[in-house]
Amino acid sequence: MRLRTPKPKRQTDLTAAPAPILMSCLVLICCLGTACAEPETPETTGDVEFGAYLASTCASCHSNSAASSGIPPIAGLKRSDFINALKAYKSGERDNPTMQTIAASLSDGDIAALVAYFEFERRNSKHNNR
Amino acid sequence: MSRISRRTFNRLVASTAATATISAPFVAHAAKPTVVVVGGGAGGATAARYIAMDSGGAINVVLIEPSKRYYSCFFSNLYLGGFRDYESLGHGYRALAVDHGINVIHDWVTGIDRPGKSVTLSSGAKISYDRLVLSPGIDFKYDSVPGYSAASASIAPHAYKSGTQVQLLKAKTEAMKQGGVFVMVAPPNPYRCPPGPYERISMIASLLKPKNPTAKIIILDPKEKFSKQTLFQSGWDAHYPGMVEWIPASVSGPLESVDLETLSFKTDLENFKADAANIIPAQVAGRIAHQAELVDKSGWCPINPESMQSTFDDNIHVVGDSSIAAAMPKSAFSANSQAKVVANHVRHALTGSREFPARYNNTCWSLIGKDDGVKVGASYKPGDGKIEPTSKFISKPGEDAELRKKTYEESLAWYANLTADMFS
Repeated sequence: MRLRTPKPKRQTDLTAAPAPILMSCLVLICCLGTACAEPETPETTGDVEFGAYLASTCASCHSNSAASSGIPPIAGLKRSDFINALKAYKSGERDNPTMQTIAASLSDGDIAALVAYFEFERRNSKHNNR
Repeated sequence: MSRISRRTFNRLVASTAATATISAPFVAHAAKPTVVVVGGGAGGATAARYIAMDSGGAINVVLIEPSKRYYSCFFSNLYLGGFRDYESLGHGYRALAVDHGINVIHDWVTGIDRPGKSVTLSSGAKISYDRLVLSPGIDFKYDSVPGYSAASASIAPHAYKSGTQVQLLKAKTEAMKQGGVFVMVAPPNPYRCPPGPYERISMIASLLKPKNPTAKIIILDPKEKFSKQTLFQSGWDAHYPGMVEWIPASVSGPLESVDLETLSFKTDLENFKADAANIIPAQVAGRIAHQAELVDKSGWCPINPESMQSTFDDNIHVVGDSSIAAAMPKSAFSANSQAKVVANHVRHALTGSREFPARYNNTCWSLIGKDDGVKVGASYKPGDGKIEPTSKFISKPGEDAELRKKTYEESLAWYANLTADMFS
């Protein structure tokens, strides 16, 4: 079993970077790795930082609150439900034109990044709430 | 319960970026860099919030906005129709200042010194910036409607920047005599919120129908077509039969003059007399963008579609209605989406955080009648020198009542969540 260790894409920059950068990046990678320890699957290899960027789009419509009506909350969704929903919107199987349009603009890598980010947030939140 | 708060994640990422600031190619900024954001609406508030939130304190963010409380132009039509109270449109800047550490200054920017990279406020204060985010919204070309002026907006409100103008328009509509005539002069393209004037007509009709059912509504339109036209026109027929008449310039001839004393409108072929009127003039980018020479001959600000940077000045990003975002409509959703691209780009430029490709989204919801919501939207990416749609949609005529109600409810949730994404 391998631990998932999301890394910033610009790895060449990091290896050439002075010690302070490497130190802080190692901290980041360790934190992410701890929070997201999971068997590696196509859905868990996403770029977490890119996912955080893409997820800012979600925040225009989806709230943090489970009590939200009108637009369902996505925070806290199981990974499989999240992936299946996006794929169903992308294929047109699920019927909401706003989400169909957004899903159509997402590549598999984008979806993996979003999944990785929300999974990170979910696990970290659980950890913090212990 | 997981959150979309980003805070846990941002603390980790920001610490990495902040360290990089000290060591790597960004050493030029020995002091903490400063971003000045001008305008606290959907573009400016979002940009300020995301830069502050995602940089984790590595960037000083200054937000300059004259109003202490923001009343959204979006959803102000629902207030006109009686579907919201006015206070529900108001939002404060407390959380931006207290929770995100943004320096919120309630003042006007009177000048931008582009070579010196500073802004001057009406108080006389000068604030230097490393990057400037400009989101000043729209200004009006009052003389685009012959006879209309800023002074006469109290007689025939434009009501297109929210505030007391919207309250005035509602009061004047409610004061119309039985069987009276309401005239709207619609704006030419491009303008803020393309479906806005026509949602407004729907809401004015909704307001009049129970108490003044014989009233008439006339739209004098310089355009030959408008956003969601089929949806609105079929909705007007269904909800307000015989009440609304849309008259494009090809039918009446161009509007030649307006007499504000008598509320008379003279077109080439016909004259109209109103009991209440709403004049929405042609629009341009907010005044400060003109003063800083960031507009082209169209009156709007050309931008780089990858970063929303002004094509005249790499140190300035123009967000929202003032920008020429090509296929993206001038809407709160667009401005909010553009602001997130800008926040990512600015943080990269000033702290060395990772930069990601621009992605944009927009949806515009409109209410035609009670529980009858429709929407239009698209996703966008930078294309050949401009922002281009990658996929889009629009509600269909004849959708069932349940779907229309869901669409309306979706719009209510969007408003709550978008304003939280700006101000919480």
